[in-house]
Amino acid sequence: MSDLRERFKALDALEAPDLQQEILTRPLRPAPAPDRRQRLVAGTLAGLVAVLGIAVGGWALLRPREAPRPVTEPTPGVTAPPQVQEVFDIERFPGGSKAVGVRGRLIARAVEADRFWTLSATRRKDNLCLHLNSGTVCGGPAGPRTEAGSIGVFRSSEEGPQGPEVTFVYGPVVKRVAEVSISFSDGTTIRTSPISGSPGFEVDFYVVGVRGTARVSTVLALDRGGNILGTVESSSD
Amino acid sequence: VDARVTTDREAELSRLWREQGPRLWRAVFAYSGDREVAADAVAEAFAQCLGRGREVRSPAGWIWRAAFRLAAGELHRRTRWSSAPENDAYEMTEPATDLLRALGSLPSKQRAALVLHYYAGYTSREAARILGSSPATVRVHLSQGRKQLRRLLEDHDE
Repeated sequence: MSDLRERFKALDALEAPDLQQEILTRPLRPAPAPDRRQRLVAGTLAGLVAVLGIAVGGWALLRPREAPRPVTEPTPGVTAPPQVQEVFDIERFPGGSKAVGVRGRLIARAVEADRFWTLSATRRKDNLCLHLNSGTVCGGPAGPRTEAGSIGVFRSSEEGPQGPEVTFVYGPVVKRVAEVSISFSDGTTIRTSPISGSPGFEVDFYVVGVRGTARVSTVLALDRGGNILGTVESSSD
Repeated sequence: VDARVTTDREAELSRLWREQGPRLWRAVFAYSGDREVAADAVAEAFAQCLGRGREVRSPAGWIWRAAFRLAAGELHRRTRWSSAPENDAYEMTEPATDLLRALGSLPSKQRAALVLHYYAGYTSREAARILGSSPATVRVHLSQGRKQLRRLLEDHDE
């Protein structure tokens, strides 16, 4: 055992960063650990659910039986359309913000319970890179500048531990863009105004996040007059 | 009043940081293998603790627990997002590099148990509290991790 303790002493040679200033200035995320009150509430809720389950179970066993109903077969090949179930609140950081653990400058952040996603941007030489959490996409040179390439669209998805897919649609837009309209396959349309990238970047950024299984169908970049500056149709995911 | 609160907060932070900060950062770094993950998790844990004030009865334990859970969450997300951490060039001594490389080959739960026990000096019961696990589970992870780590380090030594 002592041999491993000796081995681990090698870690003391690592120089730890001084994070004191960062700790004082960083914006807080939702709490990482539940406190006693939350545990009590969770326990009470679990108890209520259990009691309800027993009651429903008892009722199911004791209720008077009805005549069997004809079974409706699902139509083969037809499935429920994918849905946007919830839209994330996005915290925006115009001009980008410095944050430890975030590559480049923090542009936006979405939070829920004990999870969070960040969108950050870095500029390396002529390349603009967007990082969604640890997922990274790059679109150079320095993002779109022309009318034809007024908007870039990236999409990242993940399965939640207990829920459906979480999807973020994000990208750079030229500064003339006043609004970005994102349409999903279930007919939901989300409109968002770009987040300023100045002074660090020559482009602005947009991001929306949704929970659900819907796919992105169209992303439009609009100017102040509602004129379309760029369109991206999603061919597949 | 605001100035006094800020000063008190900074003094408290300074004391907590001196007592726990560097050691916690090293432990989370050894666990995560990523400096940015370690820095973010530790800074967030400290900030959350300070933000909660007297609501947190045992700040040291709370910070360790929060930092490891935040780091675990980030590692979990990175796996889901299928993206390798970006490792900057970072000068380390050879023994530290060997140890971190060997730890990196172990499953994360074994890694966490080993770091908390052998580096931070926590008992299996204390480590279990930090990791949100049971002492028996931590002991199993310690036992399995110990065997694997010894073998990996010996292989490298040879």
